[in-house]
Amino acid sequence: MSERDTFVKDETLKASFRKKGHKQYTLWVDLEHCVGCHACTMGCKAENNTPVGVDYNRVVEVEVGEFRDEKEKPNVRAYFVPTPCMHCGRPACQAACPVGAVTKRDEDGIVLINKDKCIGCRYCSWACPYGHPQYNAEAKVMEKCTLCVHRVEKGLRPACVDTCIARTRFFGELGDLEELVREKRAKKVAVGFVGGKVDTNPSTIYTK
Amino acid sequence: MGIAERVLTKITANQDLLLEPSLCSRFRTPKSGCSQCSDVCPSGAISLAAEGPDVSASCSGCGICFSVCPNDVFSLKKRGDEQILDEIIQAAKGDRGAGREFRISCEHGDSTADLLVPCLGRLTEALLIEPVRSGFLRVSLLRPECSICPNAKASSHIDRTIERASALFDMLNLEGERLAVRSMPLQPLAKRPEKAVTRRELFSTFRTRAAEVTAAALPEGCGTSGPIDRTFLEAMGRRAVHSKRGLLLSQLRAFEPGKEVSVPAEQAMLATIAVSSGCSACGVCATLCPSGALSQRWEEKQFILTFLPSLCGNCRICMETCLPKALTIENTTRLNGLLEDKAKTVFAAERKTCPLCRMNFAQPIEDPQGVANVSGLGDTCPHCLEKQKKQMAFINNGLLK
Repeated sequence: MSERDTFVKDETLKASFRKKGHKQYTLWVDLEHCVGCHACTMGCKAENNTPVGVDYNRVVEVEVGEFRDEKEKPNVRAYFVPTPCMHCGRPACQAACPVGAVTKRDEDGIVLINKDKCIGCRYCSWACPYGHPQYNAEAKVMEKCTLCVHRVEKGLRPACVDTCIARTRFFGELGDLEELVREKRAKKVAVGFVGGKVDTNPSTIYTK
Repeated sequence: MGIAERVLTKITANQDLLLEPSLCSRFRTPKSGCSQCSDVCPSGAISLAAEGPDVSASCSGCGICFSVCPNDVFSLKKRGDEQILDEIIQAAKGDRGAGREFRISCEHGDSTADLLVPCLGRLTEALLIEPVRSGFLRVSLLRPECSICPNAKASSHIDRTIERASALFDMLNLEGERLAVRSMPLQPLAKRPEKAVTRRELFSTFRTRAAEVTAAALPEGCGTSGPIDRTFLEAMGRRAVHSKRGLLLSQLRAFEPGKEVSVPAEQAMLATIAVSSGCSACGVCATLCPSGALSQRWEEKQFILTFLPSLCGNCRICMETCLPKALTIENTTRLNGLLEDKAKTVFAAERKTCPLCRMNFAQPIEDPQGVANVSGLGDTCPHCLEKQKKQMAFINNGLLK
């Protein structure tokens, strides 16, 4: 494969699964090559069978710049930003949940909503700085990106990573991903950004 | 994930004590730090798990946990409040109570008292009111020095029960002192007299005991009807049976209306709540309320939250879990709330359905300001509005500048 090899290498990923102790698995999304095709959204939807209105991974389109700037020249750019769950180190959703339905797994740092405990009050969505958890009107519980935990447990990558047509999503252990970022990228690097600093310690990496 | 958590009523090693862990504050919300039962247990038999209390075989059946728990988690099979109330009523029959004191004491106190309980911590307010209601002149608690007793952990609970009962007598506005506490020296536990046992009696006792233990070890519901296994949500729907409060309420109604009394909220038997317009109609308080004092419903045009103070046990789950902090508990509680039998509406709001998330939300009826129309489809709920703002802040304040 070329310089933009899709994956954290298979061996590295397998080795990280074998490691013991607390780990944080997460996503690295390289916005430089995201074309806004929404394949990740569809792949996620197909994999997790979410109802209408619930999308774990939405792609937000942002326009930056002016149609005509001070120099009377067009200066517009558009970016596409996929927004899955940040799987924060100190999840606000977990702190807000009144019944303790939100847990952060120790073995892979994935934040999960226990749908058997969830009472559908939406406190998690309210507390989340990204507003990520969504209400499932049929099941009457909250849902959120699970980082395809059912796939991760089998040693596979999340559906959105495999589906990305631009090969611009990467999945792995936080440490391995940071190494990969340093190796391949970094005009600018930011990790889940709302007003610069976020108290919840998000783990998803974005670069451009 | 995907497996329903099963919550069962626990039968403890001590056959007399039953637990309903789904009513425990700790079960309902991890934000509750309530440890009243384990704090007070003299045998140290109660340990607190995430799902509620666990009672070990050291339980002596004293029943102090039953008395202390605001949520009715514990119940006693043999000598509950109803049975003791019967004992008091029997003692008062035929006007034998007129002009007399009803003396209550504990195993370390005066063994000649009219009512003996294992520890004064077992007493509830209903038990202290009943003698007066039945016709005795006054209740007299013969209380040894608790701090040097093996059951010393229950001492502050006993103080609290006495204070609460005194406030109730105050509210009933009866003439003269109706509750007196008399100190006395701490007595050692009375030795049970030795008695010769026949072989027949010995084996009969073994047989009965074996049958009891086996019956307890069988899955609950064997030979009985009714649902056993409950999912978390069903367990959450359970409400207290009010074995303590129900008796007290019927007693209080036997008296003439008295006077208005307010007590400090922290140690009170119930709470007085206030709900501000920040209420988002999420219903969490009513869903979690173990006594059913708080209740919510969506009507065709409205969201309604009601409160019945007479059922409230002051467990504080509602205030601790309310995320917008719209529900607060006042610093002083109006004790006369115990006499109210109709729930009052504490919050009402106009019902709207958000076109984006299709969830019902409420706009306070007094609030004339409309909700923003973000999607162009109609009023948008505050959650979706905030989500929009967050997403844009998320993008704009980040690395794309």
